[in-house]
Amino acid sequence: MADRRLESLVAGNVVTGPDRRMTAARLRAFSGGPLDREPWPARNLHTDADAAKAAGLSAPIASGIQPQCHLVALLVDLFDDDWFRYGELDLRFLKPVFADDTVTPHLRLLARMDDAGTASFEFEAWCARGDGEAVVSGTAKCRAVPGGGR
Amino acid sequence: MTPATRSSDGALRHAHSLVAGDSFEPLSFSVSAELNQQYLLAQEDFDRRYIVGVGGRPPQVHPALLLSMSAHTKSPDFVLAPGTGSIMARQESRFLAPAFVGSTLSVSWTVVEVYEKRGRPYQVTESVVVDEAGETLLVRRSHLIYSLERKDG
Repeated sequence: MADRRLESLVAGNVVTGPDRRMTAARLRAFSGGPLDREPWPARNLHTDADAAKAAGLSAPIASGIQPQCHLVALLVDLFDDDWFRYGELDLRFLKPVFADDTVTPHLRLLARMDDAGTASFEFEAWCARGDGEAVVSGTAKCRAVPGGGR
Repeated sequence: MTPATRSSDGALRHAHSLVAGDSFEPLSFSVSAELNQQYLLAQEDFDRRYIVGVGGRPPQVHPALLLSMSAHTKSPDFVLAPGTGSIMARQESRFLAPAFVGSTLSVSWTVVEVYEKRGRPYQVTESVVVDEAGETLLVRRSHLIYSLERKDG
């Protein structure tokens, strides 16, 4: 079993990851292109206030993938190597995340099925902004295979 | 053969005009330690598996890098029509194998479906990431809307 928390989870339990502040620097690191690109960062609505305004936004927003990856980090914490072989996510993108917003990943266990030593888990998965609004929401599934951990 | 993203006169077609069966130009790239660490900083995730590696394996490629580099916007011939944007509505991702720093990864993109929902056109693009041995690492389906509209609140 990849993480001891998995053993004790029952349907309805919620696992929450750390709060992450989406600073402008982190948005640029994610969406600015490789650091050896010149000029850096690439100008887009994730990295540049003018580009964001041209797209009808009040300020740069994070790529939707960035908060999604905070959910993935929480799933890697739970499932370890198994996530990289059996992880599945199905997410809808609901709200933008602006620079300096805080996002927090959450998982609520929906179901667990055990078969021949392998446990399959299904979670409701979402990332919430500091104001409580979900920015991405959907489901996550993964198997925990004996000996599949680190 | 003319790629789907080019018209018969060789001009690039705008992304929103691609239909099921069309493909974007594939991308190959090498994952350096620096590129990987850039995503560790972006995600504030400094797990040792991504920096020094665990279990005798090289440092692992961060999943944020895999997801970011498999966005259709990373295709060399991705081009938006003037004044439009590409909005991600839904994404289905399956992780199938880990990737490691130093490897060369290839990404292909195929439009697999076009549909309409509440009067808005959606394009579903499947991205497949493989390593140099041909092993599939990640498959994701992105449901995209091309629009001037932006959610801002």
